[in-house]
Amino acid sequence: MKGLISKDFLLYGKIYGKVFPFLILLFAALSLATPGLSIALCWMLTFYGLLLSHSELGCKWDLYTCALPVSRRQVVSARFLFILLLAVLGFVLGFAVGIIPVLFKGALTSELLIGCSATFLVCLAFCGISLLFNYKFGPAQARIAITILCVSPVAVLVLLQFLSSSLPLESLLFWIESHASLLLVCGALACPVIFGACWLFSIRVREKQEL
Amino acid sequence: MQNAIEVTGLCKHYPDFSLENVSFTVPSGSIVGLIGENGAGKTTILRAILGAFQPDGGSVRLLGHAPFDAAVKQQIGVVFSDSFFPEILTARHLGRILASIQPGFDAECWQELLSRFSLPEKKQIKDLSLGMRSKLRLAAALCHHPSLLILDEATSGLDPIMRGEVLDMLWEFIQDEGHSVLLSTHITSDLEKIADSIVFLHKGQLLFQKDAPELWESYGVLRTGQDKLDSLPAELIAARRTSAMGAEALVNDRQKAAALLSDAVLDKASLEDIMCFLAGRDAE
Repeated sequence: MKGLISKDFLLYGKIYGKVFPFLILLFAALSLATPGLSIALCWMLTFYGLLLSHSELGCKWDLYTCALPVSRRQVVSARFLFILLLAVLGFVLGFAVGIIPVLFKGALTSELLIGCSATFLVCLAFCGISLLFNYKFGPAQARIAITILCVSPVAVLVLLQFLSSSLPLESLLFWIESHASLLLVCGALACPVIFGACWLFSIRVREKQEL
Repeated sequence: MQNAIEVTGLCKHYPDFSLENVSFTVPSGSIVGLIGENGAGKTTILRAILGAFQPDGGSVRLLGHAPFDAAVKQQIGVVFSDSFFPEILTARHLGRILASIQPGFDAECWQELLSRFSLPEKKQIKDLSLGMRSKLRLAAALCHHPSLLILDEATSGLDPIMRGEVLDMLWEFIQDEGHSVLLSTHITSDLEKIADSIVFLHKGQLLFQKDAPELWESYGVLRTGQDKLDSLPAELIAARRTSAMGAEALVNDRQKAAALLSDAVLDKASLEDIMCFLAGRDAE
């Protein structure tokens, strides 16, 4: 499994290695104007790793792994671990780059930490679901499913807005505002659970699939 | 010595194709050629051998183990017809990846193979020619000293000189009695040079597995008039076809056919002849 993860990092570095130093410098500069913008680095690092995983599934690398001394469980786990490591790296980079304006402008370190943590956790949940859909439905259909999943809450809210005369939308929004801390904690706990559950389901899906 | 591969009663059903009760073996120390027309099921069998799917019936044993056993894969080398390596990588990167995944990876052997095949280390795979990619896949299959090689159209796209080199390499590989090769190919002339036995697949069914010397000695192509052909015993004729120039038949006992029809033209059947006759008889 170590070999599989090394392979992913080697590919990642080969494809994106020249871009990221530039991105880090860019975000460092932008963070001076808008503190907290560096949290997007965590998202970008992880998202590019997800793109790499999608493209590998598309070119049937998993079929080649049938010829290698690795089990399907190891192949799937290596992919999830790779994403997890990228998210951690993104968190560290996002925080390290974001600390510069904090030192210069005296912005709150805690805000940066919360921002990086929230991005890290949302990335984990998103990537976990994306990888599971990828394994279950294939790259093309997974993209559609993810888009629907992301757009649906917004669509529902917009629809509710049109129907707000008869629905208690304002009281719902008030409830959300008054319980924001609780919802944030629940969300923070749910994200790694979602990631872990997607990991386990992906193993189960892949072990039964025909390659 | 145990068989390298044992396929027993293998069945797999798809909406438009079925593998039905396929059984054959790859004895240790031998080269077995797997032939069949396009869509016969050769690649499906190879995927079943590698554990890419669960068959609907029958069983596969790979070096005495189930194909889903990851540990047994250390002893096999596989060359697919397609390249599944990311094309942005170079041969050097591929070596590093294989070194981290294959426990038995031999760095010296890898360098030797790259040198023998004249493969540039720093060129990206997408910039390599078709033949060079085939050679790279072969090097990746050999670099960890496997005892079983499985090749799916490994010599397709190679020029005759390179094909000869690959066949020489397979011949060297098989000198160790513990080594075995399963070679699926459309280039029947390659199998005529090196195969010990031939497995012929047609529309998802096994027509035969025969030793190569037996095939070359017993099968023949008989060309004569229709009436003379009809006079032969039915069990002697494996397949027949009629053309504007007369009737042709594939006979399964050349000596007997020669004795019965001494004035007929009787040639040794090549593997291509056997394939064309047996696969084409459905059309009649």
